[in-house]
Amino acid sequence: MNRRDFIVRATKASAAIAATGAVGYWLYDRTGPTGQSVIQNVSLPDFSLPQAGNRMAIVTGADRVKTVNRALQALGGIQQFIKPGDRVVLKVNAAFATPAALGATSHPELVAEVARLCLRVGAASVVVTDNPINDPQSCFSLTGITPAAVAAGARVAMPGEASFKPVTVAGAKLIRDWPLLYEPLRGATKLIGIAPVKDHNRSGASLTMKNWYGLLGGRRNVFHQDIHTIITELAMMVKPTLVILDGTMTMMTNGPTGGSLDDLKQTNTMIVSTDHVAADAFGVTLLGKSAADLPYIRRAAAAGAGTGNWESLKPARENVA
Amino acid sequence: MKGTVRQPGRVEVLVSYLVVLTLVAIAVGVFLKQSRFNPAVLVAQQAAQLSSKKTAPATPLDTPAEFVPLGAAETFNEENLFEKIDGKADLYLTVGFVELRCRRLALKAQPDAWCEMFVYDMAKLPQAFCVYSQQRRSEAQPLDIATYAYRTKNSLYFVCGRYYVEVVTAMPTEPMLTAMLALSRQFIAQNGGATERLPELALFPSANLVPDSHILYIAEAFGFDQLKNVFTAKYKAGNAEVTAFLTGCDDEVKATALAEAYRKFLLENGGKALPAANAVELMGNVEIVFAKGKQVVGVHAALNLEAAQAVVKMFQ
Amino acid sequence: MNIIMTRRVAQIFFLALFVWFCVVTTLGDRFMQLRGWPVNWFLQLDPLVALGTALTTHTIYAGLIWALVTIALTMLLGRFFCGWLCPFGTLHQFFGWLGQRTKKHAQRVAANQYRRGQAIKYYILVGMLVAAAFGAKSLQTGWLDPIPLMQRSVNMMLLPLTGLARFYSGAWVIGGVFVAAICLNFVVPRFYCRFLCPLGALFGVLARWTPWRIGKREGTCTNCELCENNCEGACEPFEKIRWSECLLCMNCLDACRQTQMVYGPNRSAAGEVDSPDVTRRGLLIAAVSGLVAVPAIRLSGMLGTNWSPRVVRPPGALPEQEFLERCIKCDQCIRVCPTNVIQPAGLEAGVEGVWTPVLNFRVGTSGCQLNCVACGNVCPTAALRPLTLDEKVGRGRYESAGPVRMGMAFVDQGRCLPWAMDKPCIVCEENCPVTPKAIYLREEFRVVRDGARAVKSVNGTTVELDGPAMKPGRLATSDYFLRVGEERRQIVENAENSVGVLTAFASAPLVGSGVEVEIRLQKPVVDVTRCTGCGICEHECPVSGLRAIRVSAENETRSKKHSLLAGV
Repeated sequence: MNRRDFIVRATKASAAIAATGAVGYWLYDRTGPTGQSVIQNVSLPDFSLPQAGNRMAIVTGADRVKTVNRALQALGGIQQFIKPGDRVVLKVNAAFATPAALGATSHPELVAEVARLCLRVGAASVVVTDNPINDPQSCFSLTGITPAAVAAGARVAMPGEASFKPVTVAGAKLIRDWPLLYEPLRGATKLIGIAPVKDHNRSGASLTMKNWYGLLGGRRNVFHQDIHTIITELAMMVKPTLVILDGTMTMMTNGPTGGSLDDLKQTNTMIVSTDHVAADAFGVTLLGKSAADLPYIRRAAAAGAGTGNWESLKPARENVA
Repeated sequence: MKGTVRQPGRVEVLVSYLVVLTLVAIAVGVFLKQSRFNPAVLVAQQAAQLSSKKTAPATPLDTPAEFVPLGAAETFNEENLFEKIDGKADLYLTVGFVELRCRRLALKAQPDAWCEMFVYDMAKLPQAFCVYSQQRRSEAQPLDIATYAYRTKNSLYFVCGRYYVEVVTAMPTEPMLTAMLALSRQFIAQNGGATERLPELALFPSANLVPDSHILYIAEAFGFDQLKNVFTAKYKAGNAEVTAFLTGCDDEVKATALAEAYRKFLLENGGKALPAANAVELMGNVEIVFAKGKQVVGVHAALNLEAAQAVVKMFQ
Repeated sequence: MNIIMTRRVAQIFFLALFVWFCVVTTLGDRFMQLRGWPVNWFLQLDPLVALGTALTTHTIYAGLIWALVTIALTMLLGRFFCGWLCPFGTLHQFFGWLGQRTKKHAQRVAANQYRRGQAIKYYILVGMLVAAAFGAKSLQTGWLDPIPLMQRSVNMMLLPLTGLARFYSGAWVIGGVFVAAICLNFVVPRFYCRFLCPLGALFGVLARWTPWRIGKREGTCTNCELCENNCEGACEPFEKIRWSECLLCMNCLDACRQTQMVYGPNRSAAGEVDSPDVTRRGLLIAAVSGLVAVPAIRLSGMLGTNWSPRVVRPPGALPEQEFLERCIKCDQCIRVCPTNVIQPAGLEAGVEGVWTPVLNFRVGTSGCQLNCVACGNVCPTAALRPLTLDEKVGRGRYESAGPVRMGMAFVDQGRCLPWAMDKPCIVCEENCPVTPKAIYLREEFRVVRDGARAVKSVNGTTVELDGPAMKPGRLATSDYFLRVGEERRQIVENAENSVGVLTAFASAPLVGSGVEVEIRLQKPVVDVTRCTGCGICEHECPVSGLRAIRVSAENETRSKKHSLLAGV
């Protein structure tokens, strides 16, 4: 008799414990309530033109203006990419407040020429922008980019506090809710990256994919700890219309800032491509290295940002005296 | 109560011990838990560290008569050095960087010609020499203002005691370069230390030594992190150059151990031991490493064995 | 080992552990500081906290899952928590024993008789749970739940009395409740546990089907009633034992000379009352009270437009409705705050908000420190979210969201020294910790009292003036200027009737012309887009009574309705 009562109670108690456990498990909330800090992400549109094909042009010559013109002609002319009414953004390298002759930044002559070409084929506006590492005002002016761009009819958009909006790249580890230089790109229809060929002591080389680093805000230097991942994710984030890789004066050593004119070598090569991975894969040869030396090329190609096999683009190769 | 004391039953004793054991387990658990800090404590620790960092007292940067300052002088510390020199910052940060002061100066006579002076406070001479030597350009020309100094077409580089100084211009005209020299001399006069030498450099035999080819690697050398404070120098061997290196240890036992460890490292990374003493072939080059007294000496990435051995002979 | 001895060891162990946790709840990494000590463990074991928050939020937050252990053990063993673990209960037992020590057997038995009032705690429990579960939900278990109550009392009153230099407003009320509860043990032993404790009531309900329980064996009871001599729960083990009141103190087991009392698998041979002695009517009244009380309290509109701007909550606080669903008034956040700026509220947050944390920037050593995230990281129920430093300060991922704001500082221009009293002071601007500062300065030159004077003579940089005598040196603080027409010169010294200026006037003032002695004032202005309401300015303001810059809860990030700017 007593045993039966015991078993009845034991069963009820066990069932009650199990039920409580189940309710507890169902309601369990490890992380707690989220805050009011609601992060509204933006995303970059795809600026590429698949109908223009996957193309590349490599032109040798000492005069930047001539080589870039010839390269664009070899791709069918800039009008293949820029249409009347387009709002074009030129993402240049204005990272440091050093004079153009030291080769650490995009050359103002090249920036001005590209701006002029876009306006000539009917672009509604050309905006030149970057988020420099040093103070923006001195960077854009001491590099000569502001006067050259303005003379060509373009506008320089300097980053301010309100210029940044958070962005998350799908599948990325580092670019999550990270401030992106968004305001100059708002409403833009075409994006052209213009970068010099430079050695970089962290990533091996600074070419067209590394150039997109200048679109990041915040304390982005923290990504230097994982430099190849961040470059890969930048390549995933940005789908440009064109990239222009200026190998006229290549910074062979002591990049990315250089300092001595002896760091530069006149390699007289201008590369224009729709594929920033292929442009980098060829551009790195000007530094005396190969694409295999840069892990980010392989990873960006694997992520679908382009191809490392630049030869497969059957680049047009020309020379300008 | 008065009278006989109640004797606890067996079950009671068992339960009692169980409870005491549980209490002990709880105490142990609580003690283990206390070493995994609450995130708020970690944040407080970091905040305390940041506020206790002291900045080194700055010696003033005077402007020589030929120049007029262009913009304000800038100062960068460990936290924001990258903002000025981006990827190069690592080199400085890993070897004791304290502070960078830089400013732009324009020529009074010609205001659109300007140069920039970078003064890196590396805390000690060896550390300043380290960043100086690792960035020495191959087209370096002699410069006599300091023991360790060189110039290129458009810049001056020198070591002044604890400071590593670069003066860079984009317009290397005669007046500009003269003014930059004067600027450098003035800095040296104010700070002193430009004639200080590193005694280890004298340990390299001078026969066939490529002048001014000494480099100091402080944090690690040749990819092997146990090799610290390694001095290297280049020697001419026929048409090629051979890199010799040496580093000091506390005693002979440690030197022998380090030499062994490096040799093992080479073998583990694809090296093949050569029949010649202390030699290893790695990726088509010859490496030699051995201990000599309290020092570890050797040759790095030599093109052939004869050249390597010729250099090694000079150390023995 | 004697079970009584074991029980005492357990009670002392847990009381000591509880007090230890109270002592170390202070921000720091030394042994007697927070480190990783699990200072919320008792609160997490407390199933009333878990149940209450489960009813209001439909979640069981993180560490509160420990309550499942307590519930499971209670369902198996009975109210072991009350008799062996609860530190408040231990205190009541001790003081009850003190009160009974000199009493004789018959008086003790009388003191330990069951009283009908012991049903009250069940009504209290029902009222609180209904208030939490239905309608306008509000978690008010913290008033009487013994673990939060004892946390509060030890931290807010007992510890500071031992010499800790901490101040808590209204601590006397908190302490008073505690002392009253302790003193009631001299009226009836374990008064609180028997009549008031809602947690004990919850355990009493959970103990209904325990396989093991206290009871009489079949045998010869001599009716000596020694078992009821020290019965803690007043559960009447001599007759039909009221199992829901039994605290497992085991005193009856130990006292019986005939070993008639056992803890075993059978119900008591003398019979058992297995459920609490509550009436359906009583339960109904309790439930309805709980249902109606909260909406009635909220008729004051304090959750709507009548919200109190004095209620500046710690950073990471949830919006007020959600906050009141989670705060158990344990005051752990108040205890850990390194600057002592968080205080237990009085009635400023309404009846529901009594003893919840609000910031008072005049108390303590500073305002809310910029790089501190202590409060949210000790809150056991996430009424204050555990913020990372990045989120609090608004950087990294949170750069676009901006910093967490607790409120905003407002300059009282009628009290501020430079605004109203012609006295220079920029202490608030100097101490503002954010970068760039949230306080900026507007410069103004103002003619001082008796500052309009005429020139009597000029001698280089010395100007002799008419008018009342000036205290020598008073104008030499570098804040004073002499204005002649459009020119202004800084006064570097003054005698009774003359001033000396730094550099001579371009055109010397004519004798007899009017000049003005001015003071340069930098008037603080708060930047709405940057102020986080940290209150360091208010704390440093030298107008030490009603401060000339005060933080109130406008623009707090947790309430979009209280924001001052569109889109911020």
